[in-house]
Amino acid sequence: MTARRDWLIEQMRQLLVEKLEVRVPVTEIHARTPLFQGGLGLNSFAVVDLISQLEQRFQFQFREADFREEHFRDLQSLADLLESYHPAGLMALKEATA
Amino acid sequence: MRERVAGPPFVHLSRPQSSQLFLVYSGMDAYYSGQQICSMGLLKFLQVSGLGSRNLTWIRDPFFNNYAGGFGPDVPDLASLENWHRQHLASLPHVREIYTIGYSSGAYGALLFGHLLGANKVWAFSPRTADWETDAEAKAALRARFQQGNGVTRYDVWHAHRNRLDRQFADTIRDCAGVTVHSHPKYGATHFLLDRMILSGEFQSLLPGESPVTAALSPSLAGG
Repeated sequence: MTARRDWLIEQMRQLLVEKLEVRVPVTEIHARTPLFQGGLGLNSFAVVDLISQLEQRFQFQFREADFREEHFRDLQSLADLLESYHPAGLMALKEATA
Repeated sequence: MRERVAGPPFVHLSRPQSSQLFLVYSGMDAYYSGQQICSMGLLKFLQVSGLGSRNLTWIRDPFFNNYAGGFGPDVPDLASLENWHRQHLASLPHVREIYTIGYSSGAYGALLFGHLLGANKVWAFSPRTADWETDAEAKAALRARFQQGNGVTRYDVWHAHRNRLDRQFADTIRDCAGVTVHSHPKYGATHFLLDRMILSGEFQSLLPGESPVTAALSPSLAGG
């Protein structure tokens, strides 16, 4: 796993706890923790909230075709999707917040 | 009043390139599962409805009382929720067209706020109220507002042709200005008309074409 990937997943873990008020300790949220049932138990309203938060945080817009459950299975799959958008922008943000 | 449902009362997806805002009222969905609008998940809805590329605000009815309880302490009643809507619109200066959509008791919100805000158009699918105890009172209050008219908004109310309760709600405002009631000939008595119409592509065909923010609306150009 790359440093960028680690950083991205960490950003999303913090976002889940701070913005979405997920009632799971951040230390128990891992890259493969399911976002839905059997994991964080997000309902789909919370997932749309997550989409909104991600778009604001990383300054991009999801394509409609990417609103698929397989992309939102866990933080690993979400990171795969986010990196397909503009990894250069993510790196710039990482450097700015380092 | 029921106990407030947990979670944010609204979610907004910003699309600065679009001049259209769709206010979607989720009504009782959160009460039943929090998973869906109509019977499909919100992700699926975003993927296939044609709304994922436009400004979109999902608005819950956290107390399940036809939005009369607002969002909570900061927005405690209908008047303050109407004011919240106006502030929300003011925060989106690129928006030129406002549409409201609701399913089931969310249809009540779509009709009510579409009327109050003077929306371009309202789509209300399988309309119901959120609470049987106040059902008649809530319908009468909506009808009273609609009889005054706002002179602007067109309301399309849809129900499956054999769904008696949805039709009864539609009949409440059928004769009011701007209201067109559509009795859908397919799908029997279903209450899930919206997802049937989304999956068949009928819903998407109702939507106006996408309307991008034009250069003419750019503040820098307008100022020159």
